[in-house]
Amino acid sequence: MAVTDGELRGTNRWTRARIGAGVALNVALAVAAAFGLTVLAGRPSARVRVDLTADQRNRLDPATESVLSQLPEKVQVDVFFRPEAQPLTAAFAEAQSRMYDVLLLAADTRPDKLKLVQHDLSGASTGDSVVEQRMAELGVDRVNVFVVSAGDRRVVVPIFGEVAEFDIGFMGQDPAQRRLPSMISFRGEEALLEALLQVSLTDAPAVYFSYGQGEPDLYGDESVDLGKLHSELVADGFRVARWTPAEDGPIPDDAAVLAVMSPKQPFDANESEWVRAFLERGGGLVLAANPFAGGDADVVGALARDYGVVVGPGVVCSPYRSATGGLVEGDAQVAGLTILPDAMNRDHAITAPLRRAGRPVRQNFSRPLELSRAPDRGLLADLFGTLPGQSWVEAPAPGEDANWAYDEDSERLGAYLLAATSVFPPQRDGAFVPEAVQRERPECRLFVAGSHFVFSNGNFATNRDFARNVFNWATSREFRARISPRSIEDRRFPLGADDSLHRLHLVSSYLLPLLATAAGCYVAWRRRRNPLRSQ
Amino acid sequence: MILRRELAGLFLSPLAWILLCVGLFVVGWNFTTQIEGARGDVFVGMQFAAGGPLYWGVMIFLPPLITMRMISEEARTGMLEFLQTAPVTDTAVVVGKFLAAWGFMALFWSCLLVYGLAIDLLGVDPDWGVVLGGYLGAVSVSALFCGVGLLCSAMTSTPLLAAFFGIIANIVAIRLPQLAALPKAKWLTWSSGQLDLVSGMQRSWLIGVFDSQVAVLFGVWTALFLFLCVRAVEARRWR
Repeated sequence: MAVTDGELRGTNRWTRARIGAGVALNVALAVAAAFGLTVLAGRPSARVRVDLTADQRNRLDPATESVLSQLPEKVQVDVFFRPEAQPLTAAFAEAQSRMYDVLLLAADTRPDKLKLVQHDLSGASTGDSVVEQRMAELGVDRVNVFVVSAGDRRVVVPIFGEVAEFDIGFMGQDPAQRRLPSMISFRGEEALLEALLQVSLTDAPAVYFSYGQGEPDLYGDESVDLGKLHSELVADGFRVARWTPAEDGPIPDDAAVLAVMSPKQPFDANESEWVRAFLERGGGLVLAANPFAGGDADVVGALARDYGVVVGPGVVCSPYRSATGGLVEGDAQVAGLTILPDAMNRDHAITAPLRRAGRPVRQNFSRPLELSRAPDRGLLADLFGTLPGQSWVEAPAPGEDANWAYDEDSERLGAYLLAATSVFPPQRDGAFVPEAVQRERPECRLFVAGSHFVFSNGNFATNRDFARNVFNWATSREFRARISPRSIEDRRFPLGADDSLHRLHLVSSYLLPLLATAAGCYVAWRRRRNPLRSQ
Repeated sequence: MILRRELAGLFLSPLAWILLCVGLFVVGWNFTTQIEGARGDVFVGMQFAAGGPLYWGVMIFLPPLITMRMISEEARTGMLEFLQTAPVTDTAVVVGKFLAAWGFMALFWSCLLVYGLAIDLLGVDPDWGVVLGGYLGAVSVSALFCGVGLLCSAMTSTPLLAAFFGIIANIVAIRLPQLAALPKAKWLTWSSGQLDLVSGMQRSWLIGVFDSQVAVLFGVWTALFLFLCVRAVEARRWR
């Protein structure tokens, strides 16, 4: 509001107050307008972002952009990063920083679809901090992860293994062999994309666990029960229920996966037929053998054999290390096996992430498996087993007790398969893709484990990711995303190789300031010589 | 006419040359130190030269020191009264002074382009998108802080006081999100988040991205401070 001369002439107190109020209103309106414009400019529809860099390093892959734009609801990404201990401190910090840049870019590209929250973990040691509360809400029990969540669905993505792989280096005596710890691969955008795909699924596949044949309790909290598996599957977006063949009849139509865990009694002919029909028309079947069942009671053995996986008799054993470091056998602890990442299939969707992350799998009382002939146009895969020459199969004769010790006369040291899969096209009419399964064509998927202990509460802390991978694989929810490789040019000065950095230092730190000083001196000199002209 | 007069006034005063020399030394030294610290990585070096703590330090001090005398000194010596009676509007006076100060800052930050050229000549491709982004970002922040400095200069007749107010205002502008988070009011945190200059720079110009939101943020608030400055100059007529 312009103040006219007329208004200023002969002003009194009220006129001044009126003018002051007018100006104050003017200012307030201007500030409000500026703020409003700023907020409007941040709206996704009004916003334009142009990457000026030569290698387009500030753009997400079109696949990620597409998934972000199609998210049905806004997702939140909670970041729980903390410095890693030596020797990986620097390499890990690089992975964290690159991952955070990807997350920031995603949040900046679609702020209407993705909210990024970085948590400060410096105060998260008292047990009651806001950060720890949030971690508890999300069910996160470790740091250096980010959690992608939408509604009740959430995916925990660890830096180690899922986002980046590291080489811990080698600091031996020989200088020629020394290697600094480093990051050897980074797949941050793929990890984010996979997590976004996973949380954006709105349909929950149904998993039925057979019940009534002496299976372990699906809701129990004993170490042999499956309560933790049940909770994890629910948190991972599955609907979990029991299938009692004697009461329910055929497998429900909405089933995506049927799990048969260590049954003690056999299915009758009808029930076996229902299971086979379900698998052969495109369902997912997860079988875990009962280590103590044989003959007619060996339901799992009979089912698996038809699809190329033979479940052998006995229990795979391996000597364990005592507190003093010696190898011990002679008690049931030899039936507890730890499968190291090196003994896992590096290409299978179930084991590849575990191998990358260096995560072992625990198994107990497992029966040995063997691959035989694959079903018509099918494919068999061994997932993991014991290493050659370190284990044997304890198979006592009927009526005898196991002695849990290697007997070279009757037992053979070797490598034994503990888990396998079989995939094949539907073999029956009426092939179907189960509801809520992310697969275009019908495909039968069978997973077989030597015992259910690989899913049991007692081993669940170690095997959580393995268990999730198995059920996600059975429903084709592997979420392996592929991002086109980027060729970001490394723009570096060759340190120490030549003196180019020194020359840059001379130009930027000395030459430019000296030029400015010289120009200032010249102006001062001209001004002194001819003060009137230079005014 | 006012722009020419102001530019001549700036470059004829020793203060401008001293600030230019010291500022160039600080920015240049920071630039090469950062490149060295980043094991020769030009991208990181450029990000810190146009966005690190020293950069913001230069930004806090330089514009208020350039603009402190532009209105307050003239008001004290009576030149402003003379200008206001001349056939030019208050807006023209303020915009002329602003363009002079902004031009000086644009010249100062052109050192980033010189660094890019030097890197190129020394055989490493500097990624001109990042260099240009760094320069445009520096020019945007300079525009805003020159506007703030001019407003402070218009509100007092003592140049040093104007510089002091300008420096404080710049610090507040940069630390706004942290200051607004203190009362723990959600709406305040949200509002200040919309005006977060540092993160705006970090997610746009500094990484070589043109972001219309950030461009509007700097443009609109610079215009606002110039508008307030015109009102403050106009208010001097009442006294």
